[in-house]
Amino acid sequence: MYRYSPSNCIILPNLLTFQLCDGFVASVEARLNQVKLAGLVTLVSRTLSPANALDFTSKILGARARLGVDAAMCLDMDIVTIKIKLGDTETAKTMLEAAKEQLSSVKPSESVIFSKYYKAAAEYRKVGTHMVQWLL
Amino acid sequence: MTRLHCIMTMFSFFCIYVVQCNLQVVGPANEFYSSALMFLSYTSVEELTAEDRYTLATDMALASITGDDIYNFGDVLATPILASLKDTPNEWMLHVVETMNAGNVEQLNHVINAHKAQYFAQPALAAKHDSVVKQKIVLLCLVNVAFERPSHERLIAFSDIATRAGIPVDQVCHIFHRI
Repeated sequence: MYRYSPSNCIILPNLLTFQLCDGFVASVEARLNQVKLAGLVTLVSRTLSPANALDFTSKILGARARLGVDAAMCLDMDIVTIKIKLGDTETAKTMLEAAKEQLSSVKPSESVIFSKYYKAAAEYRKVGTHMVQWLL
Repeated sequence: MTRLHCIMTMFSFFCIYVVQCNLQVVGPANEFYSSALMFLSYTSVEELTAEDRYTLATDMALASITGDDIYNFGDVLATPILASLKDTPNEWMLHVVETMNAGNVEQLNHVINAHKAQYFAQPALAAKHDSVVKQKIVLLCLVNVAFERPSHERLIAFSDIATRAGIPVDQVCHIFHRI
């Protein structure tokens, strides 16, 4: 059985991927599993520049109530990663601290949320070119 | 020319200062290492792209080698992530981690000498080679010397430790002060 994952999906050209998500997926997003939708948003945002990815992810996060806590947390962690890329480590730190408190209320079965949180936390701890910061 | 040189030098120092101020909020290696291990416990390595696997494996290898309080390499070696370094330019990092895990000073020196240029091209390794890496391998060596023996034969001569750790006998006492 074909199992979906970022490494075995077909990466479409950036613009087409974005248009697919912004057009077709946007029209049915309310009917999708919201955590899966967050996964799609992550895939698309990775094909965009950090500034565009921030705009795109923030736009999706505008419907926070519909997304629910789990999907919103996934997208919040994407924002943290993007903020780190943009050099805004202060905001990233604040968001990570807020997410850490929320993690205790997340069901352990939702491993994708924990995965996203710890990925963002690891990214936060390694800003810079190859660990120069660890010397400080 | 001299004035321009002076301005450029001052600008360089300013840039370094700004970068250091910015980077003081991140790190240390230990924190990265524990977050990355937690990430791997919730994520299948197969789900990562080849590029992400390579980057993460490189970063985790560097963190485990240079992290001040990281002595348990088994955690990262138990995950399949470091295998991503095989057949890549950073495969030597995997060998460094494996030899440190084995506490084998001689083998570590051999690996470092064989990849001296790449090893010292890494800023973290170059800066922490004497202060962290050397001390860490000696401590790991001591632990291995002790646990290789049966529990009733753990009276170990300083000369044995010095030979295995590749240090003078009079420095063996300092190792115990660090434990």
